[in-house]
This record gives sequence, C-alpha cells and structure tokens, in this order.
Amino acid sequence: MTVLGHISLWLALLLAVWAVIVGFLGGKSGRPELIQSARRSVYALAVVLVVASASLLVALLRHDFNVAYVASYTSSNLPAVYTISAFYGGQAGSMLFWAVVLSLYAAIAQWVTPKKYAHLMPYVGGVTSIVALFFIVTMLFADNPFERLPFTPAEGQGLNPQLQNPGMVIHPPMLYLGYIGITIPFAFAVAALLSKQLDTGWLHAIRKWTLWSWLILGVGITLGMWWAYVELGWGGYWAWDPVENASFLPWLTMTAFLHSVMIQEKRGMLKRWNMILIVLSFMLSIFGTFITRSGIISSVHSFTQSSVGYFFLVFLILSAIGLTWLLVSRLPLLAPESKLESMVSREASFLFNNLILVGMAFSILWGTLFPILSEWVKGTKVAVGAPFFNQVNIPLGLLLLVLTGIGPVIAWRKASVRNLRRQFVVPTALGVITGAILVLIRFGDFYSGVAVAFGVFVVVAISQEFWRGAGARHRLHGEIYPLAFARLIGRNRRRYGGYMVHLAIVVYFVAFTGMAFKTEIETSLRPGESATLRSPFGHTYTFTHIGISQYDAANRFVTAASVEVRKNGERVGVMRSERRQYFTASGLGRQSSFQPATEAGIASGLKEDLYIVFGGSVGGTEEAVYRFTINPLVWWVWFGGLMLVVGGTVVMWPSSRLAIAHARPVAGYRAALVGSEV
Amino acid sequence: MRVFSRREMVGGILSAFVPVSLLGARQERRTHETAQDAGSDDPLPTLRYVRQAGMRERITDWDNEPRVIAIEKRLRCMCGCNQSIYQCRTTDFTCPLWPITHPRIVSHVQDGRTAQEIIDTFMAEDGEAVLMAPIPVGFNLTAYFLPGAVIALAGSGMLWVLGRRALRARKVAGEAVEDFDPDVGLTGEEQESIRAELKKLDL
Repeated sequence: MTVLGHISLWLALLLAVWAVIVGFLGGKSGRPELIQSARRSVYALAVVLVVASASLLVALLRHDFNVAYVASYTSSNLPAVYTISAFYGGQAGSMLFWAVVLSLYAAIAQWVTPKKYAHLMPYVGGVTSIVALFFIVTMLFADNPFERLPFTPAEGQGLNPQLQNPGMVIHPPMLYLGYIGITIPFAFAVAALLSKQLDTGWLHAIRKWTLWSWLILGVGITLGMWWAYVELGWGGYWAWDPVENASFLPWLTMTAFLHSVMIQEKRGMLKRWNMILIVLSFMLSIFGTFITRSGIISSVHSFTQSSVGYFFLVFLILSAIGLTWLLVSRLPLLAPESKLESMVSREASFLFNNLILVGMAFSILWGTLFPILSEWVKGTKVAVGAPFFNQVNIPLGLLLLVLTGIGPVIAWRKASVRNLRRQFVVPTALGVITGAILVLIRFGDFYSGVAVAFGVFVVVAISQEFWRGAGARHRLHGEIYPLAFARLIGRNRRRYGGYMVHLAIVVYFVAFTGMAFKTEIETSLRPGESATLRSPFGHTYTFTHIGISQYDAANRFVTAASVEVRKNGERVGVMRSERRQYFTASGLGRQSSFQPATEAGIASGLKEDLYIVFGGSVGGTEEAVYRFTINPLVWWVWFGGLMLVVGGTVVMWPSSRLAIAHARPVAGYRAALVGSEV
Repeated sequence: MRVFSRREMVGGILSAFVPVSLLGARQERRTHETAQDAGSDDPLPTLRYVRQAGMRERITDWDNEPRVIAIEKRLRCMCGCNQSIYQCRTTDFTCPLWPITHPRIVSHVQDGRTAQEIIDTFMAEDGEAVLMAPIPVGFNLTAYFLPGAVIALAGSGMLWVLGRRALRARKVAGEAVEDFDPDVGLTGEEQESIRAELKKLDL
C-alpha cells in the first residue's frame, strides 16, 4: 500500500503543477478547454491525495513498522482510535493531512461555487493547487510519510502519552480544518486581484468559507484549551505558548476580516484593507504551521525539529513578495466607493474593532518572535512568557469587549443622539451600577471587575435587540414570545447569529476572569490525612487521602491516588489522579515508552472545578504528594465554545427559498421605514 | 530522615530496574488499609512498584510559601517547557531541572535574601533567558511599548484621516443642500419632501 501512497504523491505533484499552469493560463486567456482542464485537475488532485491518505491509514492500521512514520508514532498495542489519529500526530502525516484537506476543500469550492463566479474559478484552482503543491514538494523532498526503513523493527515507538487523549482525536483535525479553510477565501481574493474583478462578487462567494474557517478555527482553539486543561504539563487552558499563539493569530485577523468585510459589502469601503487582512490571515496560517515545525521557537507543542522549516520559510518569503507585488499593482482598482461620514457610526466602531484585533495580533506576533529578534539584535535569546502577554493583551481585550456591545447596535453611517440614547443608556447604566457594586464589595481583581462590568454592558446592549425584535413580532403577528424569538432568529440568521457569537465572547471573557481567583495548595498526605482548601465562592473543601493503587490497563501501567472530597463537611465523592507509564508490546516483553504522564482528576461544576494532581509517592510509600486546585468558572469557557458553535451555525445556516421569498417584502418594508426615518 | 527497612530497600531497588512484566503486575493492588495509619508517624509499607509511582520529597510549608511562589513565577524553567519554575514544578513531574532550582530558591528565601537578589543570582547564571518577562531596558523596551505605540499611532492616524474625511463629507453634503436646484423637473411636493429629508440629516 505504501508503494501506492508514494506513487500517489508523485502523481499529485504532477497534477498540482498542471493545475497551476492551466489554472492561471485559463484564467488569463479565458480559453474554455484550459478552464475545464484546471477544474478537472483540482478534482483529480483531491482523488489522488485521498488515495495517498488511505494508503497511510492502511499502513498505520496494519502496524507496518517497516514504514518509518508508522514505526515512529505507533505501537501494536496502541488503541485503534489513537492509531488512526497518529495519521496527523507526526510531522509528515500532518502535512499529508493538510494537503488532502486542502485538495478536498478546493474540489468542493469548484463544485459548489455558483456559475456567476466562473471567471474566478480557474485562478482559485491555480492558487489552491500552488499551496497543495508546496505541501506535496515538502513531503516528497523533506519528510515523506511513506519512507521505508532498511529493516523492520519488531515494535513501533508508540505515541507520545500526552497525545493519547480524546483531545487528540478531535482538536488537531478541527484546527487544521480551520487553518486550511482560510486558503479558500484567500484563493478567491487572489483570483479577484488577478482577474481585476474587484467588485463585491468575490466577497459573496467566500462568505460561507470565511465563516466556516473562522468558526472551525475558533472551535479548534477551544478544544485545544480543553485538552491543555485536562492534560497535565501544558500549563492550563491557555499559557501563551508560541504554538497556541500561532493558532490564535489567524483567528484574530479573520475576526477583523469578518467585520470589515461587512463594511465593504454595505458601503464599498475598506477594499484594500480587506485584501490585506485575508492575505495576512493566510500568511499567518502558514506561519503558524512553520513555527510548529521549524523548531525556531521552543514549545511543548512543537513537532520534532527538521529541515521542513526551510521549505516553509522559502514559501513564506516567496508568497510575501508575490502577494505584496499583486496588492500594490492593484491598489488603484481598490479605491473606496464611499467615505466615512461620521466617527460615531457602525463603520467607525468596526474600524476600531479592526485596529484592536490587528493590534493584538501584532503584539502577540511581536512577543512570540521576540526571542529570535532579541537574539539577532543583542545576541541573547530573551524569551517572553505569560506575564508579558497578559500585561499587553488584557487591556486590549477589554477594549474589544466593549466594542462587542457597541458595534452591532450602533447605527450605520451616522448615529443620531436618539439612536445612541435608545441603544446605550440602559446598558451603560447597568454596567456602571455593576462596576460600583464590585467596588463596594471589594472585588479582588481590577481587570476581572472591569471585564464583568463591561460584560454586563454588552449582554444588556445585545439582549435589548432580542427583546425589541421579539416584542415587535409579538405585536405585529400576535406570536407568543418563544415563537416570536425563534422566528426572529430564523428570519435574520446572520444578524441574530452574530449577536449570539458576541454573547459567546462575553461568556469567554467572564470565564477567563475566574483564573484571577484560582486557589491551590501542594501537600503530602498519609492515608487518612486531610487537607482543606477554601474556594472563592466561600465553600470549604476537605480532601482526605484514601490510598494508592497500582495496576495494569490497556497499554499502560497505572499508579492511581484517590481522595475523598467533602464540601462544607458533606461528602461529595471520590476523585483520583493517575500517573501512567505507557508501554509498547514486543515479543521479548514490555518496554516503557516515553516519560510517565500524569492524568489530573477533575470534578467540573458551574461555579468551580476541583482539579487534583498526584505528584508522586513520598519515599515509595502510600504517602502521596498532591496539588489541589480550585479553578473558578472554567466550565463557562467550554460553554462559551458551545455558544460560539451555535451562533456560528445560525449565521451559516442556509436560508430556505421560502424564507428568501418572505424576506423580500420585509426588506422592501424596511427600506420604506428607513426612508421615512432618515 | 525516614529509615527504610532492608526489605523496603531491596523492593524499591528491584522495582526501579526490573521491568514490570517480569514482576507480574496484573491486578489492582492495595498495599494496606488506610484508616489505621491516619495521622500516625508509623512508617508506611513501601509500594511494590516504586519507580512507576514517581518519587517525591515530602511537601513542607516552604513549598507553599508565597514569597517562593512569587519568585518562581518570575523565573523560567530552562527545561524547554516554556513555563515558569512554579508552573513546571506543579505540572511536570518528569522535569529534571526544577528539583534542583526549587530547593535553591527555598534556601535563598530562608537565608533572608530579597526576591530581586535571588532573581539576579539566576540571571547571572543563565542570562535574561531565565526571566518570564524581559527587563524593560534597551531593546527590550520594544517588547513592551512597540505594540502599544503601533496601535496608538495607527489609531490616531485613523482618527485624523477619518475625521477629516467625515468633515469633508459633511461639507460636501452641506454644499449640496445649499446648491440644491429645485428646478430639475420635480413637482413642488417632491422638492419639499427632499428638502425636509435633507434637513433631517443635521447637515
């Protein structure tokens, strides 16, 4: 099968080259046979890469240890689900995953894009094929997943224990789907630049793709946070690790793009800025992949250092040069159709939102690259960690939070005093009252207090919109409130789905404030001894060490320490934390693979999580070292992620023909209303 | 100092070197009943597989001492984990470095040295790379101020440009109201309606 995989990769190389040539030539000349050939090449490329991926999967499932990749990342006793996920667990496999997902996206884009955008499609095929070609070349010449060993080892090296977690099954694919998804709107943007068709057409063509990649990237990041939280050693759900930062950067610029693109759609403004944002997002997605693979910055999440970093660097430099030239040469065609009329308007609010989002991206990028920059300038590698990133980004994040409440409800073009009063008097009053109460009760952390007060402002500002909309439907159509609410969302999914996403952002922020109130203690307990910890919500938890047990399980040897937990004296239950020593099986007996891993015991609640970690045995006895932590509001981080998914799905959900038919008279009615008001 | 029996010593050494499979660990095993030892200082029996359990020193009050933790949060563990010594020692029990650095910090604090003195000691050994956040001097200032300066500069530039544009747009619209020629084939009613609408724009 690996021979088939290898041949498929070479075939993919030829197909990608052909698709690039006929794509660009077809787009330029408009010759139908070239355009058709480009489209078919994109489909063929997807098929060939699927065959290559299937070959690697078969090799993994058959435990073909003669394949270097299979021997490096799996063992015969690795559970099937992790054997499959090892497909993207290593460097070469993850690049094949990148290439196959991109080729499938490209094929879907060719398939589903309406014919009115046909003039863009050959260029889109050319651009997606260039990116796929880059990954294929890197695989074939730097890190081939089908490379064979000169001998067949009796056993593989197994998968890193930290990757043997349900998070591994879902987080990397989600992140990749988001990362790779950015290539499609980017390809349309480049196609629009090359074809000089720079009206809003290409924006309509990419709307769903943009939302999809942004949403999936957001979900991927949240799942990564969950994984880092449950898997000990990655510093909690967010540690400002370079690889975490790398995934966050394109999300920030995509968020900016999602907002500024609305201004272009509505007012024909910010055409240049939108082009820059989508190009930047794509470059950052490649840059993130480069950071993970090059080893230029140390990270606990990185792949092994290898030569693929140079390939990425060359690709990044060439892309930057080519795209800068393209953008500069098309600047005259990207002139705005209208101009900003007032600084107190939705356009201005979105511009400030863009400024802060891009500013945050810049500060994170600067901090992430600072070790390299300082080495160049000073000769010493000065690293920056969480304290630096928090110091710079928390104030920016809070500004962004306020704009989350202002942007969606302030009027377009120019907000009148009446509009401002109607939209912001009540939210501001409630936000101020909340802030005052927090000051009075001496709420512990300044930034957390500000986040809560701002959160109240945003929630009230957005809830007013739901309330007024549902109220209007109730009065006009006589619908009961729940039905009016549901139909309100159903009839204007983009708007109300967007509001839901904004509420999700508030939930995230409020959940993050919980970390300021984290309490923890490290202690060693003999069986029967207890430790107590007081939570920020006033509960007293008592942890009584029960004992340590040791046993075999699947592919690991487990040492488990158990504690009985009491809350205010009442028994809650038993929690346990494990230290796992993973083994690979062989005919000669088990060999321990990797360092031992520790699994935290977590009891999650709406208010707080109990997080216990077994640190080891004192003197080899049942006296155990524990770290007991109370993490407030963590559950809400995951709930925020769920709200993001729901809101994003509402925005993306296709409108039915019936809804469109209904929308027309409503739109006409609205236009009449606007006309009568202005 | 805890005294081990000969049997415990042999068991511990054996379990550290002999693969688990040869020792035949198959079933969950509890070494003894827990309640009887609660709070007592009697030596506890040794676990059968000591190496797999991970060996740790008994935790003292110094390990939870806020001054120690505050210093450890400012210093990077040089094991490559990118985390502070505190974060590393409370999450990574395989790190070979914090078991050396943590007792040193505790010892310095016990000696009455200030946080800055302790940090300076580590900096003298490992350079600035040992800090979680760079010292705000020289080139390091760019880490702190450049992002803020860029945002402030871009923001004020944006305000200036957009403010001018908004002003110009108002002016042009205002001139349009003044220059509005009613004789363009509209009925008197339509002209009045347009005038009224334009006035509502507060131009």
